[in-house]
Amino acid sequence: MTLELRPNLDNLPDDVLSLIFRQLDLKELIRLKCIAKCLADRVDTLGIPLYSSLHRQPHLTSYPPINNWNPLNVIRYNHRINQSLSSHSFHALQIGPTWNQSVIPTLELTEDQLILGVGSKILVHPLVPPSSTTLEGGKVIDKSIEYNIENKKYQGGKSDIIGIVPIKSVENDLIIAQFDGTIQRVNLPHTSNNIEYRNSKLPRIKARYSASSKGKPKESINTLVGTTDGTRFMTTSISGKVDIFSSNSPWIEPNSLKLKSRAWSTLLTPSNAILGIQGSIEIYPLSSTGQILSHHKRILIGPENPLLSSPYSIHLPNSNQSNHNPNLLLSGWYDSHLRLHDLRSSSILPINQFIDPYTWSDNSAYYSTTYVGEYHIAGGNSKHGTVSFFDLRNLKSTINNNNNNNNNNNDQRKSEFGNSNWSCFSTGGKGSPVYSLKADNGNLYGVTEKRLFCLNFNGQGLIKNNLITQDLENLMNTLNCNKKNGNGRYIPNGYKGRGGKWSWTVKYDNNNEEYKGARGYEHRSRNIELFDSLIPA
Amino acid sequence: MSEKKQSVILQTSDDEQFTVEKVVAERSAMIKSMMEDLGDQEGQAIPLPNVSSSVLTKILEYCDHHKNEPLPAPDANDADDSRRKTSEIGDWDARWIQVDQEMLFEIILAANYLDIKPLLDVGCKTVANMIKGKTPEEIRKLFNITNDFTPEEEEQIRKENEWAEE
Repeated sequence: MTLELRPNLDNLPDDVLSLIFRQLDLKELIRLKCIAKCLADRVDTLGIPLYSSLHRQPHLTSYPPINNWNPLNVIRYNHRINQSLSSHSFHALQIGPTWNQSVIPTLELTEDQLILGVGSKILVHPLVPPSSTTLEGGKVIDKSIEYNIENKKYQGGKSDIIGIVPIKSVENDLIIAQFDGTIQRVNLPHTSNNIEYRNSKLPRIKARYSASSKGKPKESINTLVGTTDGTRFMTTSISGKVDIFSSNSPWIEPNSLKLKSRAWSTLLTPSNAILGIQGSIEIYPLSSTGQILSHHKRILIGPENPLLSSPYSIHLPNSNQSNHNPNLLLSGWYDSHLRLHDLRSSSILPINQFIDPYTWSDNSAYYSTTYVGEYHIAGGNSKHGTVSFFDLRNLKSTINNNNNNNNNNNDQRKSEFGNSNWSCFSTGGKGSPVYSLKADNGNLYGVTEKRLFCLNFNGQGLIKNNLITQDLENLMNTLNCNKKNGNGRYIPNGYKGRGGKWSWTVKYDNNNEEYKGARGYEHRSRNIELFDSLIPA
Repeated sequence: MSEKKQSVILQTSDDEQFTVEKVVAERSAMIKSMMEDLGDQEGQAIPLPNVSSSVLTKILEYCDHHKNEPLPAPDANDADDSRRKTSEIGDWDARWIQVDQEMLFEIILAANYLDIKPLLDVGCKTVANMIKGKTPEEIRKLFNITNDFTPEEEEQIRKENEWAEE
């Protein structure tokens, strides 16, 4: 007796079933595991790997390395991060002590370090494996190693670090640029297995780079950015000179370009130099040798009219690690908007823009921005140290109808006040602007003029010393104890609708009841209702 | 050039022959490449051993309706996000695919075999839409799948999967 197999859901060939699986959201896919053994098996062997390849997030700092995880655990972990971002359920804490002076810090993230430029100091927070190794999660932030960039004619802020570019191929090799125009390649002598090499040390200087103005005094520079691998980097001077260097060939003159005015923000990819100048973003294609093809430049603008706003931050997602579209350029602007431009489109206008109604009414500019998790973007504000989160799923088919940008202004308006968007004040009291944001593995790291902070969305904060090490915690407690008097912390406690002003409570440190988290609010609420973040264990 | 009506003969698994306009037949990338291989050998029937006459009749209706649309690029791969994201099914297609379940799966398998990507998409989206928003029991009933889990196993799986329901 031969029974012909009737085609059904559970016996379709892999290629067909995967087309069905890719239409399902996570809940529906996982639910199919409950139907029958055979289907459960197909979900595990086909559906889960497919879902995980279509829904990636950056996990540079995960522990153990993300490739060693079971795909189902990765999906579950990512799901948790996405849920936490949507429901603003997160742990927030300041990392390390508050800095004595207000500075414009820089922040870089590598696989095993947070690297900060704070004044003329380099602070390196090693990211170390957690002590409880049974858990899949992220590395733990350890106390910092401090280096001083020496400068013979030290003059106040002139030797401040304005940018750091880690060079991927050599451990602890960095390009450091200072405001006075000094650009150096240095090596930090600590190693991952010799972490005790602490205290104030001097970095080893391996090379100096000079802009092509021979004989003339060095120009002050205001930005430094590098490619992800650090093989090339770009500086801009306050007069508008752009120089692109090759990290490994300091003797080669940089490829240069002169802008009409200074660049406020910059981004360097292997194929493009992207510069935020007054009123627009200019994109200069680069040849394979780094030549700037200036006659092929493209211009993107922010608000259609008037062109007075400037982009203060530009960001592209790393397509190797995440599913954010690598063609969507994210930017933060002076006029309190985050904007997305589609680089595939010929339009100079953004395809979407985002505002937090409360920072907008406060004229707070976006100084920093990044993609975070799978669906969100975040922006750091110039006032009150706030960070805003926007869910890109609130948008409807913005990419497909980008040819009629003039017609979808109404859609844009709606999306600006999307349902699950929210903001929070950074931790540790007053301190603004948020100068830089870096997101990875369910963590958002940020720096203000006063401190480094971390907003944690992956649940690491639930376990004691799974977010910061005991050493770092002890250090922070000691430093807080030493400053008992007059060191009030400001905590936002309300918003006056009429004047459009935040009101703050001064809370004096009282070891027991000091509030260490972050307060936040939802954008949709007409009257501010503040919520609190979770406090790390 | 095209003084004669350009057509091709298709032969199904149950040995029926269909004479089909070339523009209709070449919706199938598989038939299109076979026609190119056959060249000028007029009257040669193209065998379709995996497709029955009832399924082919249905599919030719689809191909005829869409014959004037541009063919998808041959290198359009599954990861193409524009294709993946447009999960809407056109009105005509939605009405056309209202068939019994066995026919639906037959159409999907034939579309896969004949390499008619937009049709395969419509079929798979239809199945996905049937799954969406249903409980496991409803899905079993709908697709006539036997639950071969013991109650204990089922309870355990349900617990393991709770996180995704949030």
